[in-house]
Amino acid sequence: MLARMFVDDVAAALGLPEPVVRPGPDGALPLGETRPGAIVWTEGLEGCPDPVGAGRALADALAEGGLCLLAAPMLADVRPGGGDLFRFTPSGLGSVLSGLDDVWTGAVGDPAHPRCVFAVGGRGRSLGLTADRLPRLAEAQREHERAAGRFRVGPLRFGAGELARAALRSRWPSR
Amino acid sequence: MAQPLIRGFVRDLAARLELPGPIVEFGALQVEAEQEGDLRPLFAGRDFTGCDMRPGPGVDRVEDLRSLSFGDGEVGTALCLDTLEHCADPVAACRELRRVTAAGGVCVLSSVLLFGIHGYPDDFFRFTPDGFRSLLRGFDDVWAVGIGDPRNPMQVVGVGGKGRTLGLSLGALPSLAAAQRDWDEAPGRVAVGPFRMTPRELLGLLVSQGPRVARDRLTGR
Repeated sequence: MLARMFVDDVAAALGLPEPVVRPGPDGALPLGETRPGAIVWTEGLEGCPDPVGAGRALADALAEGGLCLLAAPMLADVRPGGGDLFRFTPSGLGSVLSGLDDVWTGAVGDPAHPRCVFAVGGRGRSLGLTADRLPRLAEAQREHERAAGRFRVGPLRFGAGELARAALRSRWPSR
Repeated sequence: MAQPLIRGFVRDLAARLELPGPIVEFGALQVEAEQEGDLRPLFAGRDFTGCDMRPGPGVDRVEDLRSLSFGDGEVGTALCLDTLEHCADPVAACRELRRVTAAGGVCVLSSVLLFGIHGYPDDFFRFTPDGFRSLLRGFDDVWAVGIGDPRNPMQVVGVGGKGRTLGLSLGALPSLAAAQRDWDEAPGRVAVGPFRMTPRELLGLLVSQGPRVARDRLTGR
C-alpha cells in the first residue's frame, strides 16, 4: 500500500521514463539489450542476498535520464521460510543506489524506526525531490504521527483492545 | 565494541569453542566511554588486534571492512560485533571476513534488529537470522539465532566455522539462553507486540494517551 503510494507520488512528481521494468527477486531485469527508463523495485528487496550488488547492477543498466525507485521495510515482522534477510534504514537504501548521480531517500513511520523506507535515484539527472512533492507519503506520515484512536508504543501503534488483551495474557508476579 | 549481552555471548563462545588466534575484532572503537566495551580482558594473554574504520580508543589498526588489508587466512577468529549495520556493503564485508579467516577459524557476527537508527557514524542495515546465514554462506558450518520476539528479534547473532564444525545451540550459550528465557517469560511485564512493559509503564501510557485515544474514538477520527 505505502509502496504503491510512493510510486504514484514519484510518477506524478517526476514522471517515469519508459520502459518501466520491475526486477525479479534477485534484482535481475527482465529486459535483454534495452536499457530501462525506470526501474521500480518495491517488493522483495529484503529477500535479495546482495542488495548493494544488485543496486549497482541496476544503476549500470539504467538509461541516461532514468530513474530507479526502491521501497523496503525497516519495521516489519520477519517472514518465516528463509527468504527474509535484510531491513533497510534510509541510508541503507541510499547505499543500494549509490551508483546513481542523485539520490533521494525518505521514510514513513517513526523517524528513528520507520515502517517503510523509500529511495529514488536518477542517472545523469538531478531529482529535486522533497517531501512536499510526495503528497500521499506525506499524508501517510501525518496519519502515523496522529495515531488517531490508537496508542503510541515506541514506533508501533496499538488499539485499546490490543493493549487490554496483552495485559490479560501477561504473567503477573505472585505476591 | 560489545554491549553486555554480546560480551556474555563472546565469553560463552570462548568457553564452548576453541577460538584460534590471532583474534581480530572489527569495529573495536569504544564509542561510548561509559560502556565496558573492550573485549581484550576476555582474551587475556592472547594475540588480539582491534580494528575500526576510525582511529580512537580500542583501535590498533584502521581498516575498511569492505577491503581488508589482512592476507588470506591471516585471522584465526574474526569478531564483528554490533558493527555490520554500520557498513554500507555488508555482503562485501562478509566476503572479506571469510577471505581473511583461516582454515579452522571462526567468524562471529552480532547486530541489532528491533532497534532504532543510530549513528557511529551512519546506520544502514538490519539483519534477520536468515540474513546472517546468508552473509555467512561459504563458511562450512553456520549457526545463527535471534534473541527476543521470533517475529522481530532485538538482537541477532551468527557464527561461521571455516573447515570445522561448531555444534552450537542456544542451550550451549548461557547468556543468550537467559536473555531469551527472560524475554519469553517476561515476569511482571506486559508483552505488547515485540516490547515488554512494566505495569507502571503501561499505566503511564494509558494515563497520558488514554484521553486522546478516547476522544478520537468518540469523534470518529
